[in-house]
Amino acid sequence: MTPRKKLVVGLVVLSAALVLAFFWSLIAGRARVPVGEMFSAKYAPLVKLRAARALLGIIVGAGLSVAGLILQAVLRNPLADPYVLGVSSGAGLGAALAILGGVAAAGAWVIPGCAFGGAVLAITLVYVLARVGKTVPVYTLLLAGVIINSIASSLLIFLAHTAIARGQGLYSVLWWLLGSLQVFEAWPVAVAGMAIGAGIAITILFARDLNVLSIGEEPAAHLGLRVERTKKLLFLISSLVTGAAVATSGLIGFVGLIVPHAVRLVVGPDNKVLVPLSALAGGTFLIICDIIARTILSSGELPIGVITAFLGGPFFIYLLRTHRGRMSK
Amino acid sequence: MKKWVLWTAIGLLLALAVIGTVSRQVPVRESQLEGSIMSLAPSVTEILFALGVQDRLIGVSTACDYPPAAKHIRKVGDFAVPDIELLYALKPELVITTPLRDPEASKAIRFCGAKLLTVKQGDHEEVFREIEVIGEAAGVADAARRYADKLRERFARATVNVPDALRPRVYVEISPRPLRTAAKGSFLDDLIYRAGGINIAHDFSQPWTTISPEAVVARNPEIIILAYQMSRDAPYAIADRIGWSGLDAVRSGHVVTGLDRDTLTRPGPRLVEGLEALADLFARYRKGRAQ
Repeated sequence: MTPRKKLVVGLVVLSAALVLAFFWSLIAGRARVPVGEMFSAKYAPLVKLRAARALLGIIVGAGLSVAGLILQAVLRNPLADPYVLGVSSGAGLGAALAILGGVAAAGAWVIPGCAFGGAVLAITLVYVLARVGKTVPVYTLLLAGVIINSIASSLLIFLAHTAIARGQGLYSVLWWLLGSLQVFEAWPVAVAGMAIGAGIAITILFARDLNVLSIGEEPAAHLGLRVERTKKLLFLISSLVTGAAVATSGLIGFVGLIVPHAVRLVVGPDNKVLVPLSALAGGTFLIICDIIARTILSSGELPIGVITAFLGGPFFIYLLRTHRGRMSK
Repeated sequence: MKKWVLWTAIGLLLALAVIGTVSRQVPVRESQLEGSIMSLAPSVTEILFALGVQDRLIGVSTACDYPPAAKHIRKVGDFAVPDIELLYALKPELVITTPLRDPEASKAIRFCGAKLLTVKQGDHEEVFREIEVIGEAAGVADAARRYADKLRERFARATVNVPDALRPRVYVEISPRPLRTAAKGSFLDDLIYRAGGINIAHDFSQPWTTISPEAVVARNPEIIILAYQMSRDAPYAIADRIGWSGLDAVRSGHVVTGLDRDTLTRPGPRLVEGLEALADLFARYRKGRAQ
């Protein structure tokens, strides 16, 4: 199949899956909503609430998948996920400070706002640490990411510890760290949707450059790509998309790792096809994970990160085995 | 390329989602059932049972386990965490809870059409007052006032007045790892004093606090009470802890495990029983020491 044909077929199939998953999520839940009466007034509030969740799931799933895809291509590392560059722990620290510092009560926007601020701060630090002259080498970037991640995590644990001692707020922090698509208002969905939608659109425009970059920086430069500039831009997009996703729904792991790999397994490595299809597949995947998270316990809900990690773990093993085979050849 | 791994994963995902979708769905009620109540806290559930309105209780939290009949009521969330879908389906008129773990969830409760009553239960007087508040909200104000007054009276009767010099030093362990206990500002600290003891951790700054093993050894309690909040916390062999074998409580055999932990750690009506049990324990200790 030509890439164009692959793209068209993939778009049709995955869009259909996404729409189906969306409607599925409207009737799935502890409260029974009969298919025929889905849009009657009796069920309207419930269906609206579920629709908001599903939309957030699409946005966050698509965003994390594309962010992961970008980092895997640019860092040329199959194990890169949206959180390797410190975005997650930066955002986690921001959110925890807001929750435990007591400012969260000032408004519903405070926690996502502080989380996003933390993410931006972490990326900036990683970038400054990783810079060598005018370039940002991949390895120093990864190392800086690891360093910032561990520093931010240690601060987070410090905060959590003092919170245990004072017996406050820890539940919110924990819940946030495990991730949830729970949403009670429309505006977080709208804000995250605009930010992540813009990020994905720009990435689609840069899909060709991603292809060039993934063969290596030197060959890419020989092909006429302005490597450093493109890299910085792609890092920025990936980080901001991740920051927006994390700020609205906490840390949902593994999505950015397994979805791009799964799609790549089926359609091959061409990023022009991969970027849009990963976005659609990520959205569908997260909606279905959320259906499980909401319904699998007899009361209450499971953090969605538990579901994605449960499925992501075996996938990690699979990746390890296939890559080990490739390396030994 | 082993694509079957991918298809298996997708199959598993869909299967779990289907199972979740088709199982345990609750029909959505047309309108609110008159007088129906949901409780999201064990202490609130105990109060509602004591007030005799348990028949109107259509949902409780997973932590609500007393009286035993409460275990058979439908679970509609965890301790102070409502399940919004179940709330919407069952349409209670009134939801009573201690402060919600996620304050944002109050929006969702109101969105389900329920009235939300949040009670604070810091000390015994607050518990008694909240009994009256809950009774009023549930339409049994008179019974609640009588019940609260009865508890107040029992509480006053169980309160012991002894000079500080005669009070045993008491350490109550509510969790073994990390060591946690109650301090000033908690109702348990207050119960210990009213029962005729002195809490060795009274001067700690947080009401429910961690305590180091050294601090326990340094303050040498005469009575150690194990009241673990989690029933599955194994009772550690106190005497085997390094440096603890010389404690007065260990040497004289006053490590107490038999008290009902809920009466000491749950700010509900049974705290009166907790006070009575502590007072009895300390009185026996004083008597033994006098001989």
